[in-house]
Amino acid sequence: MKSGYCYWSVCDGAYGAMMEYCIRSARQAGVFKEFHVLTDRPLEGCACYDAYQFEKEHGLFKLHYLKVGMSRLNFDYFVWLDADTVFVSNPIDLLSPLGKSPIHVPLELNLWALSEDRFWKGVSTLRLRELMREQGIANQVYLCSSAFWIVHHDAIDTVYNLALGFWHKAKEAGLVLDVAAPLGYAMQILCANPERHLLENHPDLWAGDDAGHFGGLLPDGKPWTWHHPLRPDAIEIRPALIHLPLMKHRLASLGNEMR
Amino acid sequence: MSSFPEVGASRPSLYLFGVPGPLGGAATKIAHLIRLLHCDFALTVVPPAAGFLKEKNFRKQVEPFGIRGVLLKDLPKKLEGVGLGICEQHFFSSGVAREAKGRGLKLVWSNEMMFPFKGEAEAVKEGLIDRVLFASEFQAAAFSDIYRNVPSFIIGNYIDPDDYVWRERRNPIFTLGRLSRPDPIKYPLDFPAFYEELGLKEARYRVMAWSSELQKQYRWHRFGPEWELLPEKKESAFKFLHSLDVFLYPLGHRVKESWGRAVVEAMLTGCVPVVPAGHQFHKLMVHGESGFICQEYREFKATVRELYQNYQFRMNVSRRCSEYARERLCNPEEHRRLWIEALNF
Repeated sequence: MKSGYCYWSVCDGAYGAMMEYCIRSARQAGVFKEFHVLTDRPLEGCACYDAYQFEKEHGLFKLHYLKVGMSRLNFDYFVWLDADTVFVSNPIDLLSPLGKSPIHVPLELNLWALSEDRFWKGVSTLRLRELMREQGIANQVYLCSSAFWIVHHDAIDTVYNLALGFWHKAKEAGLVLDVAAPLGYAMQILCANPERHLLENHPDLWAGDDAGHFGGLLPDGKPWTWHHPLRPDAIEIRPALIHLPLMKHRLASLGNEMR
Repeated sequence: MSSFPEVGASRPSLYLFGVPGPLGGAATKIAHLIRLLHCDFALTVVPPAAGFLKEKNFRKQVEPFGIRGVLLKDLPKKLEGVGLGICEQHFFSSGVAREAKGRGLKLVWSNEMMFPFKGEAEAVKEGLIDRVLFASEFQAAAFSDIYRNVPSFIIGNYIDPDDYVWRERRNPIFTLGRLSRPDPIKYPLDFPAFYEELGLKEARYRVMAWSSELQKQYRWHRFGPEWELLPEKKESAFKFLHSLDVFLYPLGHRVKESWGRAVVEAMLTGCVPVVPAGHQFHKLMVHGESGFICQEYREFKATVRELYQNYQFRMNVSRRCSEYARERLCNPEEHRRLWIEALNF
């Protein structure tokens, strides 16, 4: 088994170009770890594997490819990146947020802090909170994204089974979830101490700009103020990796320009 | 209701189906019941196989009380009295229950688990069980579908307190641990992280019972030298519990604990229990006085850290939890009264 970690993703169509730009930004930031990408065409700067056509609905493909793809590679840890991610610096000690846990997903919003029901990705946050509690989360219940996460090789099956099991339980209860919630559920069953995994406790690692802080501009590595659309507070951060879900077209164009 | 008999009064017959022993939950329970009830009943212990009759551990549990171990096949064809099955895995599937009932015994069954054994539900339908005993209301609720029409009795759990004397701990290194069946569902999926994330500067972790299945469940974790993972029955529960300062007992998200024998044994020895909410532990301890029931991880962490840092506090709780278990949970006279009532027809 190779020690250490690799980055990985699953990208087809325009996401391939975004991934190429992501990898380029990594190299420019001094990141020389391997990237392993399941894709429908050869991409620059990474090891490519056939992904063929895949069902994107709900994002569950991330879990399926984790189980059938990454489990065959010889790394201790796999770091998932959404293709619309850029590196602005080389992350320092990327695995440290794991602590003793086999998985890290940055936790973004404490659902117990919500005083009224809000909808997130079409789902009632209070119902989601209740379901997580019913399914065994004894701690505060947190919401997360699925754009960046780390899993230990030997925990892949456990993560997969927990996440898919939760997704199906939710479906039985009338909630059709995006992959982020089941992934967050698996994380919170496996992490012991969720507070270690709060996004604000790792301000130099990763954040997602769902609120559109950057507008159409690429991040420049300076500190910025992150806030979750459902959180009243804001946090000063300077992460090495930034997820830019509102800049997909721009990132794809930049990727295509490289070819 | 019959009156409570004096010790030594004319004794009804009680046939105990099972194997008493010094190790393991069911075996220990039977051994302690023999000590508790031997004056009130004419006891016969009926093990499932001849080999047990020659075992030293078996004989040590019965002979001092003038009790015989006899196989069912060697007992008279017509019997009077009560047959009590305790957590005997093959009690129904082997045909023993049917045979005992057929010979004329009133059959009383105590499962101890949160799931039915093979053939148990069918035995109920067949009318073999005259009375069912539960360790708690919680366990009774879990079996309510199966035992809807069978008279039941909440009997609790008797642990002979003399087997688990209190002792002051002087461990050179603060020691946390747990004792339970090596069943993966009894362990939370984050078990090693749960212990190690407490952030104690120096600690030792002792676990019994460990198994290859558990090792597989946590293959993502590297257990360092601070861990001692003992197989089932490697040590007596008494010796094991004396080696621990704190009984830290997180449970798997798929399991509900109905009583917690190991928790009470730990309390008796003075090993401070730190357990999760959402089970039945509030029936075993007063939170903050004779143990700690934690809602979430940060409470576990704060509690264990305080016990780690403050020896005097730890010792005070240690004494209190032992006294509480001795006086409130393991009072022999109280348990004797309950058992006599439960076995009276």
